[in-house]
Amino acid sequence: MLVILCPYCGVEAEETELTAGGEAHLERFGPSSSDSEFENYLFMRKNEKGITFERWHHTYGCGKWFHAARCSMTMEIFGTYPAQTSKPPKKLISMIKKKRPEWGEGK
Amino acid sequence: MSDYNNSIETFFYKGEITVELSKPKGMITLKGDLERSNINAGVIKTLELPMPKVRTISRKDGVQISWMAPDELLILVDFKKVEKYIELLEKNLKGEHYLLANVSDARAIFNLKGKGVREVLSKGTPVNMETIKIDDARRSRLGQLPVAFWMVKNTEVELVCFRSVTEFIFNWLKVASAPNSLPRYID
Ligand SMILES: [Zn+2]
Repeated sequence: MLVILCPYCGVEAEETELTAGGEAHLERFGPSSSDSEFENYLFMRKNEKGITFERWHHTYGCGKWFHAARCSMTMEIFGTYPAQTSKPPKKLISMIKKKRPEWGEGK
Repeated sequence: MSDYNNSIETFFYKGEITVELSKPKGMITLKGDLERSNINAGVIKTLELPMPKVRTISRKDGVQISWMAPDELLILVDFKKVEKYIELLEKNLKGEHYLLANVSDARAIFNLKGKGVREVLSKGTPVNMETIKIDDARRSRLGQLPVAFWMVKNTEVELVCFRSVTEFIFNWLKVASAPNSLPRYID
């Protein structure tokens, strides 16, 4: 069972109070994009083993979307941050790097 | 709902705690940027109450502001004065970007009284009830349904649910507060 801190209402929300929203920081490819770009945007996900950034929704709570950094293997939650950003905060990245020196931001 | 008042007495149960449907209350949802000083001031001026801190309520003389989200408040007033309060809020929030909705008929409030109130709720909500103090408010779920509740006294909770699921929530609370069904884990 995951316990994730909602950055909006400060609740240490238990998993069943939340809805998982899939991979975070996707770049949208709209009507003017090519078919393969659009396909990629719609269907292709990294599905990483290890550190992953995802979206969560505090459904049975304040009703806000937020981001979380989690390890898909150990289920460790490294931190959460608000949704109004297109990449994870630097502080969180360096914290994860310290904990997992072998991690290369996945890129 | 015309028969709402008549149905109140059928929603009464006394087990480990007392479960009772409250009389109709005026409920107003306010959506808006609560950080904006004009919105903040407009609400305070209208209701003559301080703005509640995150996940708390502020209340006085039958008027209450409940914190629901960073951009949402649930305001409770006398049922008959809802329209008046909405008018006043509209006046005091003029020029601001906000949304006001009279949700009095869309919600039902249960009053839960008794020493075991935390344990009854613990059976269906993921909230750690041990940490909930007087005037704390939480939006969460009870079983599969969304509810909000706040602590009025150490032995009293008010719980809000959608009106359409009143009966389900009542039956749920009834089962959860059946005699001799509490673990007596939380004092
Ligand atoms: Zn939240």
